[in-house]
Amino acid sequence: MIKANYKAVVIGGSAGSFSVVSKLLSQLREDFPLPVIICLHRLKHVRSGLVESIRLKSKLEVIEPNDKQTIVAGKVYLAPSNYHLFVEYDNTFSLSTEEPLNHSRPSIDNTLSSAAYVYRNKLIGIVLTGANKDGAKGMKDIADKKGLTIIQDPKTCEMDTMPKSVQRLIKPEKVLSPDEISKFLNQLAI
Amino acid sequence: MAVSFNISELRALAQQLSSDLKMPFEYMTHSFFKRRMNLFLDKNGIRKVEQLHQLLQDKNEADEFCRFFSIATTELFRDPSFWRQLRKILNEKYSTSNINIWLPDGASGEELYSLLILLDEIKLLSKVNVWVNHWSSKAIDNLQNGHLQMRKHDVNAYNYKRFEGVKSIDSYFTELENEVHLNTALMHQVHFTQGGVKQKPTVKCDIVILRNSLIYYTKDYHEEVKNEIDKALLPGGYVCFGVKEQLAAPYQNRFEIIDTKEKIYSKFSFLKGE
Repeated sequence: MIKANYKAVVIGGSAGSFSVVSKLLSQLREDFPLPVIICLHRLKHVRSGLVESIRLKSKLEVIEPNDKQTIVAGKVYLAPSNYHLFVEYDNTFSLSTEEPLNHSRPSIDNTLSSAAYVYRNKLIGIVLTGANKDGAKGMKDIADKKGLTIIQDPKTCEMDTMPKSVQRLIKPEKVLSPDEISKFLNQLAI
Repeated sequence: MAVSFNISELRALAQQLSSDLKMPFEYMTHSFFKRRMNLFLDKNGIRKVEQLHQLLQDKNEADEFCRFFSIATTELFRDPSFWRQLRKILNEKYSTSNINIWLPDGASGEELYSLLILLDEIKLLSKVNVWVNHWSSKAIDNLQNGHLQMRKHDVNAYNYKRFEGVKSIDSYFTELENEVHLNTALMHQVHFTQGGVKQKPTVKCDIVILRNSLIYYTKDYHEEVKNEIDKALLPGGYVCFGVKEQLAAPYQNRFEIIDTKEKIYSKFSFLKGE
């Protein structure tokens, strides 16, 4: 077990990362001690389907949060379609219909940067496979606040633009395969 | 070098702006106020807070600043299933009566235009007075002109199709000087007011539509807004929030949710005696 006082895990990926996220959640232990906040690029006109699909394999409860919903440890939160998802200081989420960022709403940068601002060095940021640069700026914000940065090993990615964009801005602390990411997270002590 | 604020500086600035401009900046969520403020400062090349205060002495700049903090609705017929549900309610409950509908935040107009198109298609337009508020007088001018951002045309057309509209979305708009405008004949019974939720219509309303506006404000402000809506709404009337918004528990004494997915609430009819 790794003794660390992390407060949250935040994960970003494009639509193609669905299978990686699904596998990762199926491997996380049932008593996982942190909230897992996920922002995936998704079709903005399709409100349902994604969260239900992710729930199928997850041992943890998966929720598409409402605005102002409190963040609870051991639960998985998926950014809803056509909204940006932000973390607030009072440990709640806020949503926004502001302009797309990196052609995306939800934007990974928005979620990662707001989480970095709130959790600072108590945050683990993970960027998975993806076809654009969204998430790189957010990972830099996490690194600037001394949070832990992890990218999916580009060699294991269907599309490696997203993790490689992170590498262009920072040197991630860990470059791991999907199996190694879940193994690492499962070692986190309460 | 951009202006850098800590939390207490941002709170103090929000309070001062609330007092100066009469818009509830102090109730905005921390992350929203911070990022909009930074965007505005960057956009205007402002490096010191004193420069901001100086800029806002100008009435037009202050109006533009308020407009910048009112977020666009993003598209016509956003969440088409909501608009289908609203059409059903209007057809079933209000097809023979004169009614009043209030939009406490006109935003960028898409909600208003979607509503007017819906009313036109179910032949209720002449029976409905629509009341619209906005913090910015310039935004109201744009709304009155039926201005619409052209770049979202494909999304708007796709949403209209999913709404199951009976015409072509293009038939409601004309292109003037590279700008798209709603046919202003649809605006005949629309009344605009500069201000927020406290500037209620002069009549009690049957329906209030306030979707994706409260997400930028804290829970304390939600309570205030809900109380104002309660006062403005007739018993048996409807209030519509965004699909990812929720009412706090105390409100349950006065409202029941009639559509969980689309976040449509109805004020209890038994409150008629109040």
